[in-house]
Amino acid sequence: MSPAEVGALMIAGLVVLMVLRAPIFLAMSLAGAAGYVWLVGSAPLLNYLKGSAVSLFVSYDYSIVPLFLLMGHFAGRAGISADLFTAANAWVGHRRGGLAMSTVLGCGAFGAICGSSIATASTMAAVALPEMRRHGYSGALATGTLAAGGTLGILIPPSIVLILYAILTEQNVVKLFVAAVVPALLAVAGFLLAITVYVRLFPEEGPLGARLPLAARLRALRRVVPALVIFVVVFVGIYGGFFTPTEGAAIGAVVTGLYAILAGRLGLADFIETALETAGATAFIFAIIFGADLFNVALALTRVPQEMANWIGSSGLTPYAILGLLSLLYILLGCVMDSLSMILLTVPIIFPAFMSLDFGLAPESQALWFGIITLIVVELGMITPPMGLNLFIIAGLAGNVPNAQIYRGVSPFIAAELVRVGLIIAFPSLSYALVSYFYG
Amino acid sequence: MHLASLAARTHRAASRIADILAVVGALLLLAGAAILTYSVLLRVVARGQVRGDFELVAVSSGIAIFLFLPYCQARRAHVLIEVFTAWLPARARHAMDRLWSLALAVAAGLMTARLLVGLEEAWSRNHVTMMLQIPLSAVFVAAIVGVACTALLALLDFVITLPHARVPEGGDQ
Repeated sequence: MSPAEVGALMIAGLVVLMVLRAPIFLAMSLAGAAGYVWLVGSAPLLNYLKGSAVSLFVSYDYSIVPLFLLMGHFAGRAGISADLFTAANAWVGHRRGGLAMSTVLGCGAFGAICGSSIATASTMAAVALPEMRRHGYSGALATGTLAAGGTLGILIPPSIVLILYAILTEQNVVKLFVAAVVPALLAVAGFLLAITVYVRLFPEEGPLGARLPLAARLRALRRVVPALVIFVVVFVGIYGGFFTPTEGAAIGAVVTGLYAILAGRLGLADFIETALETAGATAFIFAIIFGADLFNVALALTRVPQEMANWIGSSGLTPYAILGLLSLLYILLGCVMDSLSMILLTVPIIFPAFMSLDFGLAPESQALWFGIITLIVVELGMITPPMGLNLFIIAGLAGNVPNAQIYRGVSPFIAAELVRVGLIIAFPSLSYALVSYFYG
Repeated sequence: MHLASLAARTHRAASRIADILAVVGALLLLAGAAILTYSVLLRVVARGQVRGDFELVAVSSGIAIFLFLPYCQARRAHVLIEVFTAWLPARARHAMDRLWSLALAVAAGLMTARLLVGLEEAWSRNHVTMMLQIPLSAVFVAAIVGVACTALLALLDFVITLPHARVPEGGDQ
């Protein structure tokens, strides 16, 4: 059997294991280990297992991931998401659909200091869901907004997905964060527009609220100060080159933790809860990092990634058609898989093939552009029914909203995201222009 | 039946240990973060630096990650694809989940055995980090604790039948 055939079998085996409910990291590990043994024998595999996990996890590059997760969970614990929501609500809450808009703005602002969408969705749901219910918002609009708003946690830098993409493709993570800024603002704008259109069509689902006097609005605005200070300290430091992203994440975790203590919201019990949340989120990611690494090391031996690149290069399709197909593939995969598994599994295979296509861009710009497109399409998968992970989480938090209602509520946001993917593909400079401007 | 109740009790105890390991890991992570923060402050204020700060952070995060692993297993928070088997009766799905728990127990058991060999090598050959000479065997010990505890929890999941949690609780995108 040729190595390429072994590679194809590995991929088929991986799919079968995942369909049969194997945890994704385990499916990757088993398929990878089987391929490895088949190609080079069991002794090299046993040798590899001896130290691979330790050398993989003890890494300055990867340590940014648990640090940002710790920071995000501290921020949720400190009530920062509630403060941001309240502040946004004071300004736009009285409009039709205003609470939903406040949720999007709150998620967006929280996303700027939090790198994960589930932390964003769950902390924001705790404050925004009861408010929307109390004011007679429909279950569809409330849950759709939260599921979509949660993705802002990861679409807006810092973003765990972009960090992993940067490590896998050896790109500069700071430049990737900068490249994500304009697309992230487009996401917020698109979500606000989606809500506006939705409540124009179904006015009874997002009723008007009471308008606050200016003094109260200004008072509410003061609540964004802690988040703003954390954001400025961490990201001016990172973007300005004063410290590395890992140092920024460490400083962010320390500063946010201190703020939570000062705000009286981080007692011993809270710290334990934060520790457990961080542990769950971190272990989940690193289990997949381990499995994907084993799978991709074995797959690289089969030369399938190179064959794939050659095949794509000689397919006769235009680069844009291939990019469109890749995006479609990611969106479809995203309907059944989580975004981190997709990134870790597919980027090592697809990235070299993508970079061999000629879009008339500088290689670095092309890599940044592809990173942003990948980020958007995998996150789109997270809110695409029936499997989108964010939908499950919101369904769990909301309790009694039927799935059909959740699907209906999230559909305008999916439409907005599809438009955004189209824009970013049609105008690559939306992603890399800011990077060229800053780092020329 | 007797075995099942013993396993359930052991699972509770092991989950408790997983919680403790997670908190210890988080403290280590935070300690690494504090050292790095202090080092940056030194650099900005006094143009100094904590020597080998990046190594400390890499090692403390690495140890933390390994100590976090059992918690994820105890909460059954590893993500899996449900959509293709959602039509099956609950009993069939639980049977499959138990089978994967057994597979994980075997795999994590094998991994533990390999890590023990790795520990022995790191110890006897005195593998240390470049700047601070931190012995890598410390990380191997954490790895063995984390992976072995995961193997135990997975084995207990196989012995006792528990429904899989639908929402990956710690799962994070």
